[in-house]
Amino acid sequence: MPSVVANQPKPLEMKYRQGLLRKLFGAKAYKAAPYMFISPFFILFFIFGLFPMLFSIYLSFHAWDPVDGLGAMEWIGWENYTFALTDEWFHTSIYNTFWIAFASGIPQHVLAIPLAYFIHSSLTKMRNSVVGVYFVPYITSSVAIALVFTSLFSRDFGVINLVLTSIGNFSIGEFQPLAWLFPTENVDWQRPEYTKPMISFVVFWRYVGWNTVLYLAAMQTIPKDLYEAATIDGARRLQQFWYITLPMLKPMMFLAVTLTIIGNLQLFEEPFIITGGTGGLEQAGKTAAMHMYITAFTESDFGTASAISWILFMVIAGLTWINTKLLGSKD
Amino acid sequence: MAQVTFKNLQKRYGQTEVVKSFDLEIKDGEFVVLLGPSGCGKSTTLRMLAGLEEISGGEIYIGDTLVNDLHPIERNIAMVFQSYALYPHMTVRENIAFSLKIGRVDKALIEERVKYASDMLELTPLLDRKPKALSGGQRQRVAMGRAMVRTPEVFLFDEPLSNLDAKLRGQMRAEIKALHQKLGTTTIYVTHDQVEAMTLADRIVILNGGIIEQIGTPKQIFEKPNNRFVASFIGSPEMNQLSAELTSSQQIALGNQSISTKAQFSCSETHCNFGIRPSDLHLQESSVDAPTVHSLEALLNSQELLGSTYHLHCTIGDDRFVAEVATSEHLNTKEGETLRLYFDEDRMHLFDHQDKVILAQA
Repeated sequence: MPSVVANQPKPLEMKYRQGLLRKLFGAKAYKAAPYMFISPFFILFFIFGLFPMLFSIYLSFHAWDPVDGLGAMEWIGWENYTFALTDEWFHTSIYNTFWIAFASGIPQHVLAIPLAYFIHSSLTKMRNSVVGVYFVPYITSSVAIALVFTSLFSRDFGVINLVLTSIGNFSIGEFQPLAWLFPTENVDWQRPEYTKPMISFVVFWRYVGWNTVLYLAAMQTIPKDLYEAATIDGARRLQQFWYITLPMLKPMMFLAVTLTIIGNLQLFEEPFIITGGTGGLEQAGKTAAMHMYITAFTESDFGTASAISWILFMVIAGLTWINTKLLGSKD
Repeated sequence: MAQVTFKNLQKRYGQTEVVKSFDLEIKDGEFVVLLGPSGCGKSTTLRMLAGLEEISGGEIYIGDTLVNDLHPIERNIAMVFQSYALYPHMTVRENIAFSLKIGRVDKALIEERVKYASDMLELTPLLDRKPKALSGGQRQRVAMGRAMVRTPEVFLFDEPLSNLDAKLRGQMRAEIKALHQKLGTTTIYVTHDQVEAMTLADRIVILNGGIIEQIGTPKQIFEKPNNRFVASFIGSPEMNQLSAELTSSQQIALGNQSISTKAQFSCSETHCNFGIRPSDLHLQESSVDAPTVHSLEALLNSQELLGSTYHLHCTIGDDRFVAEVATSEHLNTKEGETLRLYFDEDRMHLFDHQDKVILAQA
């Protein structure tokens, strides 16, 4: 044992501060504090989240017009479901939903991945501003988007018609070489055959930036030395994209495609505003979510609307399950 | 297989010079280790050779081919990365076969090569696993297998063992050495670990601040360091450095003690540094087996028993130093007492005021 050194300093007496909460409310209240802090979320969630959800299950088995009060509820079993499933308009709306979901969803991903790869591998200083530009549609109000696109697609004054007809009317003497492909007169974009493509284009345009950001984020987590190893193994840029980037993006693809499925099957805002809330001529732009909305708030049939929402839920759950089987990783 | 030649190789990032005038000739089949502290430019040099980093100046030849502007694949090199850089979504088999698949090699031949590599590296039972399911040492071997299958002209290793624990490192070191002996491929190995350098290298290149400090066999580097940097960088515990005066060509003063050497030294300035490795200091005159034995008296401050050896922490004047003596040799000297340390004249080093070695004149 070493001998004790003389003049060792005395141990200090520390006066640490007590926590403010404990001081104010005492030890008991202090223990309850975490629950108090978390409670606003739970209270709001129960009132505005869980309760309506459970209530809509209950509602879907009842006939009810809310104007007549709660007492007017009448149990009718599966009738709402059978009605919704046999309703032709519901069929149309489901068809429209899937049409738009695929026509806007697939190009979103097919374009977003190469775009993200380009931004990731080729841009350095400009990267953030380019990403920002692609992201702007996602945060732009859908009312503003609809306003811009309806004026772009306007029959008599729209820029798109102006461009298309001027190409179609291009002539050498009497001969119009492009008239077979391009219109020579203004196109009426309000016509039903154009409604779904138009909506799909707007949805595609709006979300492609969002997906690009997702894929870009995933690409940035791929270690650089994998590319270096691949370079030394002889893989050129395109092969590196195919053999390294794409497989490594799979988890993000799963997430992004899931979000697209969920988002597109619930599509409401864009078609609602573009078609002025009507669903367009011949219901050509009416999605399932719009159909549900109209059933509830225009036709005051809350029971059927609830049933539709649960049918839609089952469809989304099913598709997400298929996506999990296709893209979800097993390990 | 091929020789590798660097001629006045340089690398600059803007104003910063990372590698300044690197000249080296590596013989066919040689195992060369680039050794130095972090930031000394060793990895950059390797990456320039691999083609992963642009060359700011100078030339690199593999064989007789100038490779400055060649794509990595055209240089016929293979590289093992510090992180192994295994493709996580591919199995061991796919990882090893990847370069052959990219090179559109015949399937049967790929199979044969993968078998050859996996047999040699004992990876055969693991071929269908993903890298995630492998241990550190196994991953390391896959990375080596991936480099091997292509039968490259040059192997490059970039700190391949620094992610392994100490025990595994020793084991993998031996495997790398064995692999080199079997394949005989020219190998360039970058590390900051002197033990790896000493055990693996045919020749060591010591780099510091982008400059080559010394090139030599491990023995040369250890016994005849060119300068103080090399002297203190190699060896553990590191070489003791004591300030000294060269009072005449055969007289060295250390504090108030002096040594009369048999050899002659000459230097423009009298101030110099006296260097001696801890293991070259002995407590008994009889344990120094040499014609010229000198001794120094020192104050013992503390001592540590390491098992087979003692580390004696001593001072002469204001200079602290360590002597590493065998436990059997240890006398029962107490802290605060003085002791006498003996050494062989051939084992001491003198460095001038610019830290260059002062060589004995015959």
